Amino acid sequence: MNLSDEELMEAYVRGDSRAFDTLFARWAPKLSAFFARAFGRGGTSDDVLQTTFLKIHAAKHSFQQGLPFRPWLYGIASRARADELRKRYRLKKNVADGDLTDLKLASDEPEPGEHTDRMRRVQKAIERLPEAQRSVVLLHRYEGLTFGEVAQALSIAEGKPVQEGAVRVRAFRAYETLRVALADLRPDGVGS
Amino acid sequence: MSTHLAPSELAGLAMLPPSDPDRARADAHTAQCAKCAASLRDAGAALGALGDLERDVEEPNLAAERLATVKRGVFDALREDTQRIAKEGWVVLLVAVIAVALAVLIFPIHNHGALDHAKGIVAVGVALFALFFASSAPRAKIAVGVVVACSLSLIAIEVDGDPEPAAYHGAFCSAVLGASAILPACVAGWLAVRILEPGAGWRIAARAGAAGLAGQGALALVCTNHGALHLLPFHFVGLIAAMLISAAIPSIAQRLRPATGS
Repeated sequence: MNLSDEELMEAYVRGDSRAFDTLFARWAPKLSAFFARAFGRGGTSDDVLQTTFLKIHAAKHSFQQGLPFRPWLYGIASRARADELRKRYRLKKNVADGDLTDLKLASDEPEPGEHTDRMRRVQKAIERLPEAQRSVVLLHRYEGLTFGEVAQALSIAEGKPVQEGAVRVRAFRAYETLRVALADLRPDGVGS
Repeated sequence: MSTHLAPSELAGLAMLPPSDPDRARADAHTAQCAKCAASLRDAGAALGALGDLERDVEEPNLAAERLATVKRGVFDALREDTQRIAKEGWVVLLVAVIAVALAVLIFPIHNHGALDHAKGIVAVGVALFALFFASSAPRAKIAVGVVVACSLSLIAIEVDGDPEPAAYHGAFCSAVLGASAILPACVAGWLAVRILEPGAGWRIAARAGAAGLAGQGALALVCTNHGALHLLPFHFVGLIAAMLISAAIPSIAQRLRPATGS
């Protein structure tokens, strides 16, 4: 039987540990890609992925029945990602999320042979965005969340309400910055 | 013709799905305005490069191996967590038993040994229930409610028109409740905060309450002051205070932790 994510999570909250197994199989590859875009593959990404699933377990009773699973999951994942950023920049736990805005993400060691120049350019352009915009782009463009879902996820991640309108503004600013930065990578071949 | 698209919004509009109302308005405009249509197309084309990162796919066997390692790590940690919670239960059980035993032994000596056997049986029943409760750890918020209800019921059973001053035996009763509730809560709290665990406060409060209830059961057996003005502050409020203090342990401990960010 193919249960929805919400049904699986509710079963897990009731004590069905097999449901957690299924959720891991379903979501670990996607979350792994989400963290790999921020920290590179392996190492740090795998640690943050493990932390995320432990946080899901610890916060399982905060999952509200009837609400969608995906924004809740990405809220926890975004929180784990922000915690890792804090650790990386040796910031205190109580530093407000807004203070992460101007941090530039230093990516892990380059992965020779795996990335083309175009990929590296795109990666760098995303890394140069302020964190508040970068997190929106990662969730909207790469994870396929709607602005409403991004707002729900960031509300969990940032621990305060984030309005859909604010997410839309962040996204529009980020995409405009990226458009300028990547203008020469158009499919006509310029810059590749 | 509608207003031209703002250049600063072209990129954002290009990234919206056709079903989005803003995008639909933009599409309605570009159907009539070739200049805006070309600008929107250009913006979309430039941002098409973002898709390059999605083509960066890991070799499947390598990815599977990596995820299997992460999964082992997660499930090992969860197993350890279950064992730790069971250990907490036993710690609470052990300390509560010691506190109850001390109360039963010390109090009659202090009070020249006057016991009410009928109330004693009820008290022992409540204590046994509380001890079972403390070691089996059901859902924390329900457990806290059950502890409060049991504590109030016990007060209702005990209370009579005792003329003794309210503070008579007060220090002893507070000490028994403190020993039975706060000490196991501190131990359970110390175990809980070694890993980041949101919501641990409720579980620790439930355990402290259950252990304190065992202490309260022992007090019902040995304390001869059955005045409401004694029972409420020294048998009931003491238990609630113990639960509140113990519930705060994880957040206090987390604040005192070095900021590693984890």
